[in-house]
Amino acid sequence: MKAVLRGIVAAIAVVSFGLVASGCTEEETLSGYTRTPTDTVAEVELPLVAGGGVLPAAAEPGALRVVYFGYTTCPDVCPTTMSDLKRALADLPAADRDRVEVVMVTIDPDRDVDEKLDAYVTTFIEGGRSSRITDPEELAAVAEAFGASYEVRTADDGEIEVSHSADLYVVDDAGDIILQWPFGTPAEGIGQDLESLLRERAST
Amino acid sequence: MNTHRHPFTRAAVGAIALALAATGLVACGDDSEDTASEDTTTTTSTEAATDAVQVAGAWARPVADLAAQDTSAIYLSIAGGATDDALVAASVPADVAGTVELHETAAADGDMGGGDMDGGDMDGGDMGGGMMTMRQVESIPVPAGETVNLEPGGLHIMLLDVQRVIEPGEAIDVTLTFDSGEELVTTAEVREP
Repeated sequence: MKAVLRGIVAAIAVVSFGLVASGCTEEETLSGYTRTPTDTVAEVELPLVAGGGVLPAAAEPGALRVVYFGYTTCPDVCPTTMSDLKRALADLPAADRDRVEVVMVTIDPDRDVDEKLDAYVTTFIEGGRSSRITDPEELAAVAEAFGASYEVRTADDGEIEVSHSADLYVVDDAGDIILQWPFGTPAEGIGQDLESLLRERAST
Repeated sequence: MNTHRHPFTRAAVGAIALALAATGLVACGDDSEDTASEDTTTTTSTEAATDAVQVAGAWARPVADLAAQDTSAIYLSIAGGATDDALVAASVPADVAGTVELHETAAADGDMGGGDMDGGDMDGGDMGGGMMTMRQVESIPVPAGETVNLEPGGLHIMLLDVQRVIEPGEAIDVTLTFDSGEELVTTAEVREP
């Protein structure tokens, strides 16, 4: 009797797996989402910390840039996303990993001084870059180019309350935002998307 | 995922295609499950409630470099007892963190009030969605017979003024104080999410 039940359960599992599979064929396999039309950040430049010069938002030829807007005193959202990204990158073949450049832009430049921000990013991402824009208008313009929002405010009780877009943005070498991962995208999804985007770029 | 590439053999190409198909399937399956679990912060227990609240699955984020990070978070799940209760405070040993607060991360979706803006204007919110706000909460309700999950992207116990490096594999004692006066001590395992 138990064996029969197990068989039925297995059959149901196979059928539902098939249904799930049919719902996500071909182009639906990316975990992130794309924008139509694609937004460009080709003109955007990201000032790097500690006199590191300026990094174009567009990726190097054939590479991808992953851009994140966050802050270091973030205990929950930012470390979750950075850890997921870290795991996704760790699972990539080395040759692919070298074609992904990560940069985090702090939305809390008052508290995130250069050294702290840089240490934060490299804690998660080896070779990760940090951008700190101290001019509020300039930071707002950069965030807007990506479609990112943020707010740092002091509540009545003196508590600093931060809100920010928690998405990761993928920029190609033409400066187009070709993909965006919302908060909570599993590391496996990020990794598979990166592999597939890099594969497309390798073959063209 | 460990696909070895032998571009000149037909069989290998077939294997790659199969592997890719499989990863595609897995990705989609994962997505639906993750969405479901993330949307569910409260679940009604199917078993009869025990008399007292119970805590399980506590873990904490590591802090590798104090110069980089002075905050961390503890996550756990609380099974409600026979009566409604609420988590009102949490604490860890003073050598771990100076301040411990109950926090909630929530989707903000752009309906932010004015307040003392300190970081630029909000014009960037055109794309909508994706805005997350973190705020302190006074207490976390634990209704009778229900399980409340503190998890990434939702409710969490925030550690501020972290005093020392917190290494993966460590165990940190966490004391939870409930509205009923009950106090529970649990051990949070330090690990990557």
